[in-house]
Amino acid sequence: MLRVVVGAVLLGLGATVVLAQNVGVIKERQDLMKANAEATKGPVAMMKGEAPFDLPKVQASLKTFQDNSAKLKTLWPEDSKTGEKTRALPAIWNNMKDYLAWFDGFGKDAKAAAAAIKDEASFKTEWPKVIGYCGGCHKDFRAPAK
Amino acid sequence: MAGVRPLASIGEIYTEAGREGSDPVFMRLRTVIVGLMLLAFAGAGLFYALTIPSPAVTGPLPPRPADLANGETMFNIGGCTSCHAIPQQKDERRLGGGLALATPFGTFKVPNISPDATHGIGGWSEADFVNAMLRGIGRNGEHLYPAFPYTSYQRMQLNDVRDLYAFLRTLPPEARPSEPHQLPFPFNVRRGLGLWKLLYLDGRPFIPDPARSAELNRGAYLVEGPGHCAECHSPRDMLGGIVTGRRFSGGPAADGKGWVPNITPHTDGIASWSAKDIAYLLQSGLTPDADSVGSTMAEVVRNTARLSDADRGAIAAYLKSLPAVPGRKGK
Repeated sequence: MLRVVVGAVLLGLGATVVLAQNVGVIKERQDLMKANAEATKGPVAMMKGEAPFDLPKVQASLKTFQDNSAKLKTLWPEDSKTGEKTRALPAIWNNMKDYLAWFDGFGKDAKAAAAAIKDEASFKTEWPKVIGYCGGCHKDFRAPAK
Repeated sequence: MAGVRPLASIGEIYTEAGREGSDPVFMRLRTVIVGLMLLAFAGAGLFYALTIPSPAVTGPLPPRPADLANGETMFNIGGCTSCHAIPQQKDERRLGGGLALATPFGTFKVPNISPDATHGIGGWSEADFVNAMLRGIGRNGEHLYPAFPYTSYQRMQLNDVRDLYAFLRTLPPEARPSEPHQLPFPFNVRRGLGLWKLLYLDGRPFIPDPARSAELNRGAYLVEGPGHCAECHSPRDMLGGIVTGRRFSGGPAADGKGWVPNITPHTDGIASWSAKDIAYLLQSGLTPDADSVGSTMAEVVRNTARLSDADRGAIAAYLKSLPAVPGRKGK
């Protein structure tokens, strides 16, 4: 009997620890997503003509996208499907290969854009290609807002 | 004679009934039955008369050179591919259909509108296509279900519809049969849609307002006609029609998953957005707070990203000019 109780307690502890790890990884990826969103703001104002074109600022944003896409790729373990109000859809884990390819494409195109953008004109053609990844991926893999 | 007698023929019953013609109860019953039958006939006749499809054009249209570039613009603003593209593949110009649209009325299976002669609309005349777009009438004169948003497409100019027809014919044919819709009674009675159309289809084309700028009129046309924005961004009544006066104020998504936002300039909607914010969303999918739109709006953005800056600007200007209508906040 004692053995059963101890076993159950240990199992419970184990589950709690696993849960704690999940929350960490979910928070981590949410923060990176938010950082990406933050990084779009400067260049978006330039796209709208609300701020003057600023090449170093654009390059900094594109660098953020490259770094974060590489990190984000690693943050989808099997045990991070729920918690922290995550809007990650089960489709992620059912199509992991396709899903991760979005991050590869995002990082690669951010790098290509960083090389191609020299002035306002090239910025206006290259920027939308990179930003297209946000909605393209969210469409299939993020639940709609409640 | 006691015992079971085999069921007689109608004639025999009638003859037998005749013999009992003097029974007053039977006479009264017969009057009631005949009366009910007459009422049913009259009702069926009225139903028939009220549900007769009325096409926009009959017979072939006069020849006219098509503007394929304009047809492509109509294809993009019309969002044809968002429903008609074959699911689970990336080429949005393969319009073989097959997507299942789950709604409160049943599940609609999106048909094949590729130029395939057997399974698509390759055998349709231009007039057939015009009647589908402007009146919701199929090739065989049947009513089409308003899951196909002809309540908005009816506002389109004839030449825009004709250019779209020409453009669709340049896309690859798909040999893929359209599947039947899965609808319970009474929604499976197509003829009944004639009554629905009396309520929700007025057949009036878009008329530009001379008091407004060309940009606002263009925006109004794109939003109310081919763009069919109100079809998702408005609440619907029990019969599935848009609630008058609450147009564009948002509502539950047709598939029951999530809420479609209010896009009027109300604080519940997008009052804080500039016209540039709206135009940029239609280009990039990014909201002013740098979130990206998902689900079906991501599909819309894929199409509107291909429009000209001028058209996106016109849509934005028109949305900013809408009356502000309250309606639950949504993202």
